[in-house]
Amino acid sequence: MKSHMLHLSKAPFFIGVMLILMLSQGCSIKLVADYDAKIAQEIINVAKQVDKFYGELLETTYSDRSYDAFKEKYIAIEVNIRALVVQNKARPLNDESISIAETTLEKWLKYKDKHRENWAKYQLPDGDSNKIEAKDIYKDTLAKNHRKRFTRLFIAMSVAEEAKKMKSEEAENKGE
Amino acid sequence: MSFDIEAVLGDMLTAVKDSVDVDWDDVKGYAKQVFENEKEALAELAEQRLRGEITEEELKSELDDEKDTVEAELKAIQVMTKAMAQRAANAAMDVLSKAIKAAL
Repeated sequence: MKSHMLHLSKAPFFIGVMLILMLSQGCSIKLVADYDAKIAQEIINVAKQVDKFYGELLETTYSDRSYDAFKEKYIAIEVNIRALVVQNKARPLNDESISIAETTLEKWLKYKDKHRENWAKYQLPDGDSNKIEAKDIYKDTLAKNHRKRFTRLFIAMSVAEEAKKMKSEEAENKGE
Repeated sequence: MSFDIEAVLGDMLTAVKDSVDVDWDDVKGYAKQVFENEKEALAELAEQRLRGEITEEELKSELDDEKDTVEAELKAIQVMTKAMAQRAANAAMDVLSKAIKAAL
């Protein structure tokens, strides 16, 4: 009985020790992935690549906007956006960044497919009801919309990554 | 040394408030930018359709993409608020940790 009472009286002490150990070992609450400077830089690089793509497309005359003329660039950018998706997926607590990268990839593929589809329609023989004019292969208006949209998506990706940096800086300040 | 739970809780609350105050301006600034971007994009789409620059089908497709873009931007705000909550919670835990150590 005495040993049992002794055991109970020590319980708060052990709880206290465990709490102190947890706190002193840097047991912190974690809700978002760690900041990754390499991904942050990669986001900027791909954003620049996409912006350059639209800059070049808009400088091209309508009849020169063949899908083939841009195919290699489409694929190179697609590979880089896919890499962003994969790199984001490799980190836990990162669902939002994965989703933003996936949306960006989805839009890239959608516009790429539409450009290819329109180019095929443009090449149809005269008189075919599905044939489209050169100005409709990739309209300036749509290209400008898409350029702005990708800028917003890459800013969202970048903002999400930088938000994680705030947390890492805090940890650095604590010397963790 | 004694452990004054009221004082510690007060300090924890102050730590949370200070932490949230620092991050809140960033969240607010970006949320405002998202709202402005969306307003501008929707107005432009309406004008493009009225000028006949885009077809009805293209307008529908663009509006779908706008919806997805805003969702992506809101996800970025979600990350900011999660990071803000994480920072605030850890600031409070830090106060508690120091108070316990000091009381021993």
